[in-house]
Amino acid sequence: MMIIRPIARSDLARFMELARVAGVGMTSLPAEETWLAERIDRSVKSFAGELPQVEQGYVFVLEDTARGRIAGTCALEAAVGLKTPWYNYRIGTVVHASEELGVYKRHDALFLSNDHTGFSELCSLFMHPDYRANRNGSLLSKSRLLFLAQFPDLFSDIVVAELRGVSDEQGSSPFWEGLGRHFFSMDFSRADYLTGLGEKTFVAELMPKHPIYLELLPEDAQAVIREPHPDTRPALKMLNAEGFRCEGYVDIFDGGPTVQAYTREIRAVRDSRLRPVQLAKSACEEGERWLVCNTNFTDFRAILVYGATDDRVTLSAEQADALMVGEGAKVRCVALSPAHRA
Amino acid sequence: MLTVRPVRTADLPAIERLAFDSGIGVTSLPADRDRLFERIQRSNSSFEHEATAGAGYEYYAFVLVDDGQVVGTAAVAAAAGFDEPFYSYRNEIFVHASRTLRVHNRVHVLNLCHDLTGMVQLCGFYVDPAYRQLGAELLSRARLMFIAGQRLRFGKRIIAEMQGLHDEQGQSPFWNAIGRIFFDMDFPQVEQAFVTHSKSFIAELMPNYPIYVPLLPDEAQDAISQVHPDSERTCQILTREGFETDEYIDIFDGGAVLTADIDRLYTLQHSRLYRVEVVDSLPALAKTRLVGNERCAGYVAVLAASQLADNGVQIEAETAETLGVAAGAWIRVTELQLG
Repeated sequence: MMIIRPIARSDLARFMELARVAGVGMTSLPAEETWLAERIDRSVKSFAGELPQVEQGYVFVLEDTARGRIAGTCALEAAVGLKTPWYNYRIGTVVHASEELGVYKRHDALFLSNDHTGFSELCSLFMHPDYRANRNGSLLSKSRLLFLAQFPDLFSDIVVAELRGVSDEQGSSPFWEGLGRHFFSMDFSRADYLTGLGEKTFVAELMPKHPIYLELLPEDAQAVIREPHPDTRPALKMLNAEGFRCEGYVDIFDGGPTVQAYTREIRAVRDSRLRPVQLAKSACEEGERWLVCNTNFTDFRAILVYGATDDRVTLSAEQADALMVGEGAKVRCVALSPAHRA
Repeated sequence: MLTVRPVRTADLPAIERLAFDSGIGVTSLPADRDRLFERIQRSNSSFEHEATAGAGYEYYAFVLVDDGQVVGTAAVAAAAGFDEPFYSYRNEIFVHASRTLRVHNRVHVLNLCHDLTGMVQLCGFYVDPAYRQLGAELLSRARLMFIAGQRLRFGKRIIAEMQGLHDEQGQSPFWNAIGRIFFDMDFPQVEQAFVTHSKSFIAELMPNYPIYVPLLPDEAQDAISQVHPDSERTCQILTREGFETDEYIDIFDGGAVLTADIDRLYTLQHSRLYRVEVVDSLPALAKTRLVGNERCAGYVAVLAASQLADNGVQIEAETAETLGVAAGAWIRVTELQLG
């Protein structure tokens, strides 16, 4: 069975393996053992309630219990930018006009901002290629939304997610080449790598502080602003369906979109319900897919369940074990995907 | 004899012709009769009235005359921008450094500023190309001689805008990279707009955030602080005087804006007053110098042979007559710089 659970210290070796598979393209999961160990440590302490909010970061893994493998990982940061500044570019409008001269020109400019300070963040999503099927991706990514729904007090009113911007196979980013490159003696892949290691603030502090008129950037750099990397498009689509929108914030390095939503308005949060568990002999194998989690903070678990759940959630013994619940216990559930509205 | 004197209303047709010949880039000399007439009137009243530094509206225009023909014009404005802000880009260096990352980058930035507002401004300079050598030096420096003689009318700092780079079609690479984006106008069209609108009026439409130079196309970067070949001589005359080119540029074409402390200029430091001695003839070796009287409305400066003695200067009768001085009067004398 595929189960979402908090990462444990004993996962380090398998976490490292996953990071190796992720490779260079995935900067939020650098294959650096010390870094990963620290990340796990911070998550374990967060789940144990030992850290202040500014340090809380929750890392989840998707475990394939049949094969004892970690299939993927994702994370939730309680509040970004409270220890070191959190940077974005906000695309703002500047109008230069003179009625007398017959000039009216509207310009977009990039304004360096810390507007997302204190917001919660969805991050570090990675699925092993062997498991990119059977809705595992949705389970992995959306289980965090159920966690948000269950523990709203731990998180901000607004959640953001940064999506990887456009870069080519050599790791070169047109946005970086057109802007960041001029302020560094550094390749994009290097800057990106440092970002993954949590050095983003240092890098950000080297970026231009004053607004940048988009029209002063090369055309290929302008063209990729707000554009996700082709590989990231499905993730963006999924987030959009959940209610996340790009409100004009982009990444300062690759120009990729940052999407955001009010926590309580996220579809999976808003529509999720607490329902009692009803045990059955076997798991339902068909019908609508539901995302179900227990209400336990430290031993949080989430799985995918089939079948209708109008007033109760029918679970097999195996599923109930996975969620660590018994007959009559309350679980939180939501349809895996938004209903198609007519 | 090459002579510089204040402009007169009767010079208008000649000035108009010079303004027309000056072409693109000399925006302080608009080819527009009404504007030129207004300038001449303003100049006349400035020469005639008492003024002190900081008053603002004074505008002193001069002409270069050869054998009765007006062959050049130049001016001094007491306060750049008059009652409006005077815009320029200040060249700045931002250091983008990180100890942690061991990165240290110096980034060239252009910052829109009003630093030069109210400074004395040399402007409206144009000479017929046939007079680019001695005539240009006389015309340009006669203004500084005038300032030396009327020191209280002027403040401490002085500037001069140099025409920036543009090609024969009037295309300016600096304008095309910045201004054009904000105006949808070609450089010559903007020059035209200057005729009917003040420069600061138009400057207010320019980007008010700093411009990161590395983001500009190469040809625009290369035009920063450059001087159009037609203005090289003018620029050379002023840099010899002690003007500096590094700090400010024109916001439209990126041309250098020269700046200096008035009292440290060569002409201010090295010109001296001498008593006139009129002689029938000067020794063959008598040097040609810049010579000017000390009047305001009756100001005249010439290039003339002279012989310096202890406190006196020997000049010929024709020179004395042109300057309107008699023996015993005080006149200002300085050496030629470029010759």
